[in-house]
Amino acid sequence: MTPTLAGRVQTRLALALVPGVPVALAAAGLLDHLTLGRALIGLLVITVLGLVWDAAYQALQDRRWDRDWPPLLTLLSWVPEACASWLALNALGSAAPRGTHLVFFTLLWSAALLVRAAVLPVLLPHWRHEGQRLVVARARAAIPAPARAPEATTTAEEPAAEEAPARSRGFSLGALGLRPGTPRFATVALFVGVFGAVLLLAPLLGHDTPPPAADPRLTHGEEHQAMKVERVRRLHAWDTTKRVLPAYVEFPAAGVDTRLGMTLMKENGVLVTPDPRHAAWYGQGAAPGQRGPAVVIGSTDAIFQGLAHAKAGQQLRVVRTDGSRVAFTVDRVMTVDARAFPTQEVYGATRRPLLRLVGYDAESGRNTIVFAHAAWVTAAPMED
Amino acid sequence: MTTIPEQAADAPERLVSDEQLDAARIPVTRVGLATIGGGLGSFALVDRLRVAGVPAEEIAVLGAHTSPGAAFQARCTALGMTDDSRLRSDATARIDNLWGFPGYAGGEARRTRSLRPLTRQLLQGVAGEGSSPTVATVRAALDKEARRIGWPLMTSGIPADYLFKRDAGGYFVICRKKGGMVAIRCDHVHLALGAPGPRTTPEVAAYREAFPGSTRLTSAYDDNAAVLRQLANRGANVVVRGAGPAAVQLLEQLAAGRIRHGRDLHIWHVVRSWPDGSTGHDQRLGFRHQALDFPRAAYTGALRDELRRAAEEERLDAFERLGAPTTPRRKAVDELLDGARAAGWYDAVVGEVESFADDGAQIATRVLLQNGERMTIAADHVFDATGLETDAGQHALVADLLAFSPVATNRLGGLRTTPDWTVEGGDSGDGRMFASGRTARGGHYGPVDSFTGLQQAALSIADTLATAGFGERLSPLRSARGWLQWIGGKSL
Ligand SMILES: Cc1cc2nc3c(=O)[nH]c(=O)nc-3n(C[C@H](O)[C@H](O)[C@H](O)COP(=O)(O)OP(=O)(O)OC[C@H]3O[C@@H](n4cnc5c(N)ncnc54)[C@H](O)[C@@H]3O)c2cc1C
Repeated sequence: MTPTLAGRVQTRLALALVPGVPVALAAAGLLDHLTLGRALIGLLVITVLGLVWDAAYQALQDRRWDRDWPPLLTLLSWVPEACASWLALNALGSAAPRGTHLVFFTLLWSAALLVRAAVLPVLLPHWRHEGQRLVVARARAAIPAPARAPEATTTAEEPAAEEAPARSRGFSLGALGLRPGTPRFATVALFVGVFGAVLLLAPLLGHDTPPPAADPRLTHGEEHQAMKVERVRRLHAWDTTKRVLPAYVEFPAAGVDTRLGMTLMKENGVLVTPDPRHAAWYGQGAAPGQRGPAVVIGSTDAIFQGLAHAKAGQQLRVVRTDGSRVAFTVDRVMTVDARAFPTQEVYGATRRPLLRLVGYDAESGRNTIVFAHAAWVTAAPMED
Repeated sequence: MTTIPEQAADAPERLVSDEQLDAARIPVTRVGLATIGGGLGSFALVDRLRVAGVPAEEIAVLGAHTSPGAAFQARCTALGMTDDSRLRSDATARIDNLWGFPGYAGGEARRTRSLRPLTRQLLQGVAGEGSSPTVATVRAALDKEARRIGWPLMTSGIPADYLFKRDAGGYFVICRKKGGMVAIRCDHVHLALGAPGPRTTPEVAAYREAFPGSTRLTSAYDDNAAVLRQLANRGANVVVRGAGPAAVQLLEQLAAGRIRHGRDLHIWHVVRSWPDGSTGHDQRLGFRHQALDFPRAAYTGALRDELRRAAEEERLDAFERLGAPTTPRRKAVDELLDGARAAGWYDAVVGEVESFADDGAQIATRVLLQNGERMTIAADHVFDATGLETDAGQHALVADLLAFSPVATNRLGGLRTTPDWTVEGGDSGDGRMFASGRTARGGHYGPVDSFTGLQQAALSIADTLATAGFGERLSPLRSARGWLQWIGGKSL
């Protein structure tokens, strides 16, 4: 049944909560490269973008001669919405890998479709008749008892006077001119535009905050904001084929802030740190920020003690010898027995710049592995 | 927004008291709501009320038929539609299912073990002819739901003669039973009387008056089976007037008869105007094509909202323009008429019919052509397919109401109603008078005479009734429970 703009927006927002949030939580649990934070940010971005799409769909719908939205177009909406949300998340730097994102989006999208087809009509019989509005316009409920006595005529006239502008409106089906729906459409489009712009630009407003110091004890919020500033500024200048040697690794959440030595693999295939007080980078593999997995090892007795606190979604940084910094986001953390070391997962070739922190405990033979992917890079030399 | 027409403003309104009925020895039955009509409009409202838990004893259905689909089915049959004929509306517009889910298409797919109904529904509005239910599907589902909600308990099978306002609030509906009059006293009343009959245009009325005994001119809604057989058997010249679905139905039947009997049956198809594309409609062979009676947005979309808000004159103009005759596009019909025209036994004539006259053996149709010339077609039979009567005042009960209460009709022939479907001037104390279907034509909603329109009216009326203390609002929980009961086929 033909939707209205108000109906589209209301339905979209409601569906973002239910089933949106539960589906996002479930997807974060099910999908490998989807952290909880990213799933929720994804849901938010998909929803906000969706509102913009709704305005666009409605504008298109109003230009069709019968101003209807056929079911097929509802299905086809997958294409623009899935792609645009991935691009937007990518630009924001919080995109999951493309495949993961598409699966995530498809889950959200089909759940919403299912609820629209089978649940909303059953729970809210008005919904399909009211152009998919959840909240029925107050005009209906507020209509007073029809005027019977002449003295009641004045009250009956009030709403009519309020609606006077509607009288000058036409119903021409083909014309593209101003139509009755346009002012409201414009208002909502404006709202969505402003809202979206604020959301996208908010990080830039923090421009004046000092750039992140090398101090790893920054509060999480500040750090996050500062990272966003650089991310927006530096994203384009990232050459993942360039090999720049790493100097330091900073992982505030795990209390790691250490100089990086370089280590090479022994003949028996074992990696060790030359100095237990520092972590070491496996120099035969990729450098941090270079395409492929960069591997850093350290002892969980000493320098990598805090690795046990690492969690998906946390940020860490590698300062490189040219003064640039690469930030990484933790995808997942894994503890394994050294004999069951997941060689392929750690060293397997990839096209994206990745980082693996491998903590070893010589006594127990347990390895703690932090899998992370590069989120942004800055070429600016450190100020302090 | 004046609600009181001049002539009634000074005349005191007719009110009837309990004592008056007592004195006339008319037995009175008391209910909460009476719905007059007993067709699909009444059914939609009663279904909604019963789903939300109103007991059957609180509702009286007053209509000539005991089955809610009888009048609808009779019109379909008269048009020559069989059980397998497809209706016009969408698979999701389901008169027997308040929620529209699951639609008719799912059931048909299951029955026929084919995905076609579903793909047709998916492609609706983009390609193909969409998915509409057959006459038999709608009837069977309707009968089932009528049994489920206890329709037979609520209906008596007698039509209503008068509707009086009661002096102390509420209404009396007066019916004539074999033994005499009976009255039903109700707090609220609902009118869904449908069409009074086929439309009689002035030319047809004049012809009937001049040639009272003639059977050469019939309406598409008359029982034409015998005439059609006879014409096809003998071969004849036939005039079909109109460009709506009823005309298409007749053309198809005439063509089928021609093929079956192999006689020369020549069809003159008189249409008022030849669509020139200016309306934006898809069009062909003199027909404007549109899936439903109104553009879809007028049912639930933005057009509905705009029409609702518009001032009366503008609204009625729009209703007339948007609701002008159209037919759904059917490939089979296009091919049929294309072939007939190529073979020379089908001619379309564009113009206004001026008069009909009998000239002994034949009936002469004078048409003022679009180019200003006049043309006379001599034919053996004329089928008038100009639609159904729109003037609610043609119902005796409504005529009486118009004469003795402030209730009035609008330019399109329906009762003047407010956006919540109450009849203006129809209140009686705390009692409310509602109208839906054709009886509410020209109100605040365009496609009143459709399954969707009837259900939309039913939802709104039931909410207003709930506010007035009759029945409950359909909360999400109550609605879900009602739906589960519907799915489970649980009798209410
Ligand atoms: C051939 C045809 C096909 C249609 N196809 C579709 C379709 O596919 N989809 C769609 O949405 N709509 C369709 N419609 C339109 C609409 O849904 C039906 O016309 C529907 O029956 C209208 O319901 P109603 O209650 O207004 O009138 P009806 O169903 O006609 O019921 C009116 C009833 O009132 C009774 N009545 C009249 N006067 C009195 C009185 N004084 N007292 C008591 N009872 C009285 C009549 O006998 C009748 O039973 C179609 C209509 C026709 C004619």
